[in-house]
Amino acid sequence: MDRPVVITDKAARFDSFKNGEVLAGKKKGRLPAMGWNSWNAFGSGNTEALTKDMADKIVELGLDKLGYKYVVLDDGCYKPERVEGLLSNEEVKFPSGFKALADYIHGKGLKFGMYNDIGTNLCAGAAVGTCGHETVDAKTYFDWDVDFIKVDNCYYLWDNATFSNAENAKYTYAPNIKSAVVSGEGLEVEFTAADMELTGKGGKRKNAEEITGENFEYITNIGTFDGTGPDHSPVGAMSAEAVLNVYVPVSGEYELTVEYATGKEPGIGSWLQVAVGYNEKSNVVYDDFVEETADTMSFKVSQPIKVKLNEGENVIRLMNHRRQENTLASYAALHEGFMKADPERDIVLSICEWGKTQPQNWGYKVGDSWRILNDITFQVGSDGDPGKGAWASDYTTSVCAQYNKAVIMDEFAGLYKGWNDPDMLMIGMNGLDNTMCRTHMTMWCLMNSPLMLGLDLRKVTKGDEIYEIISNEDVIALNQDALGIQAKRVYTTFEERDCWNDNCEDVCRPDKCYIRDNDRVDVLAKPLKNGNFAISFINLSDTERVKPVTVDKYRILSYLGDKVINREEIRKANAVEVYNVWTKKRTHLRGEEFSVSNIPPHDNVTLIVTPIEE
Amino acid sequence: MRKAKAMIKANEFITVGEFVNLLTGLDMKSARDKGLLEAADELSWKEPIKRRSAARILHEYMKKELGIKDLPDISTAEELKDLYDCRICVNHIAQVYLRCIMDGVTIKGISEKPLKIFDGKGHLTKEEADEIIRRLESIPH
Repeated sequence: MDRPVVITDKAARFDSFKNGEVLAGKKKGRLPAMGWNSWNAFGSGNTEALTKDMADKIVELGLDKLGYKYVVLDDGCYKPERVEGLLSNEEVKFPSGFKALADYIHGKGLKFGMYNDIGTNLCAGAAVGTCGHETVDAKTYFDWDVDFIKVDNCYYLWDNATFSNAENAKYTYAPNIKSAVVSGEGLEVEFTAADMELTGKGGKRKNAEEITGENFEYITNIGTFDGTGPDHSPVGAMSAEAVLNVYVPVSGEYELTVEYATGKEPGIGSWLQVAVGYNEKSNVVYDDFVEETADTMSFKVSQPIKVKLNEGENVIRLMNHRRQENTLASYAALHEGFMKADPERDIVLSICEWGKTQPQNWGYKVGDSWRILNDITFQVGSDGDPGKGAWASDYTTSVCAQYNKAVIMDEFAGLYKGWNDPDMLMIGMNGLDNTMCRTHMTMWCLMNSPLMLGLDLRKVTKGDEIYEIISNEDVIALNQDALGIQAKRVYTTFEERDCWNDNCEDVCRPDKCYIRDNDRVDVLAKPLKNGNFAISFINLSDTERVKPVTVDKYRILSYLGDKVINREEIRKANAVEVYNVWTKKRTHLRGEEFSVSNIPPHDNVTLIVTPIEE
Repeated sequence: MRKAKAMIKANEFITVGEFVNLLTGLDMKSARDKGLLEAADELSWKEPIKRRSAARILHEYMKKELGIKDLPDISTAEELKDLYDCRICVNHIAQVYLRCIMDGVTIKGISEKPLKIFDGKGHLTKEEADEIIRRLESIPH
């Protein structure tokens, strides 16, 4: 394989990402997965014996009855290479093989999950990635009775992912663009870079003078920006296009030439896509490499590209959406493998490309959840060492960093879409106290995130503080509520600050603005299947919030819209019963406001609200 | 700590197998059985070791064989601009860097300030490997 697949199915195109249609055979309607994953607890040092111990403890602690059912082996469990083309178990750590382990786990009434990668190798290095082996691997996983698969993105061939060739950026960015010409039917229209419309996000206009001494403008950074780090909002456009608005007097076939310069680095690639029109009516007329240039500033004119234009106004888009399309195609290949192996069988697909390709746009088509960022911790544990997590951090490695992004991604999630995945739980790791763990659990449950425990369960006993957090049925019920709607942030105390307006890219709304300053209290609201709703006051700050934080029910109803089942009843009710999911206290409140004060640092007050008449 | 007897010239790159032997005195299989290596190490044992792999093997050896506990706060290692380029190497690199067992690489001329990176894709010479072992031995444990 020396190039990404030719995309023949319009359903896999960027222009179909918003159509809401999933790939053929993809089953939907699942609530967020719950279980235990080996990575945060044991890194790549997990073993068969440890896994069996964890399965035993899940049952012993009664966690299975609360919904924790998937036992997932993460990286480090395979032989370093395929054996006669097949995956096989690392014999020191997993001596009995995966089918025997699956049988053991199934015998406990639990489900069995495994791990692989869309690249050539797994992140820990074993050369057993699914790339090019999707069909045979899918059959193998079904032969092993695997119910869940987490699929990573290391050593990926068609993007500059972790351990990939850095020059793979050539696939995922368009070349620098200096000009274009549309000709035919006696017409010739030249577009300089200045004449082109730069749409979306991330594209840049630059002047060549500083580099070449020549004074001309060119367009660069046409592609999808990398979402692995926490720097950018996940809401809105994730890519840029250079657009030619061209008027032609008669319908017909025209020729387009583009003056470009190629590169192999983030921002400047060698792969160009040309489309006429927008959305599902668009027609992609070119999707390939262009001939390489001497360097990123040595421009040349492309071969003519045929474009069919209609009389009147036309839109020609110069773009590169291959970062998203290639990754979707790779996960789709594995999905198709499962369909070939047994179309009736169900398997949960957990997409783990770390938010790199903005999977909130396309992940629902093929997966059940998608990671939104790089890992929540890099200090994973091992047998005897719980590893370390953090409450806050500049990078992705903390509860707050993951929460800050996930909390404004509610519109991407849903029962018939899938779930934003802010990574596995760090409850039980060093670095987080019980208050932080309680709030971490609350956040993940409200955001309908998959709940994958990442601790050594042998350290947990019924009734201890960690047990009380991970087994809180009221909080878990929020995560597993059958309505399947991620909570929405309806208010943040950041709104009280003068810089609120500076923080917003487009419109200043608490459910859309990406806020990374943790000195605040957020208020989340989540509609529930029985017509009630949950409201949570979350203090991310290192200091107590003494002043009251107040939200009225009209604001909540306004933000949640028709997602609230008992909308009118709530509107009309003159009182509510509130039930605190952590203190278990019930209170009746009259009036239209919810107000909480004296919230300790890192703590939360989470209430289930039932409208009543008094 | 047992020392290897392998004959390697000081300015030559050291292979994965040689580094493992130099550090642990073990062959690849024995080191793998002790949980010090990843599958990828076995595949590449004849190839020059990458600095990120050396950091990982060193860190595993420090924890599992020498009983050296991890430094809890690795945020200072963020001065290495490529720290997060390899997501599964971060803690390994941070631990050996912060304990001054492996140094970063300073690059001048790219930005106003010299840029410091770990250069995880770079290779180790025998001389550098010897220096790493010397520094490791100087850590109290």
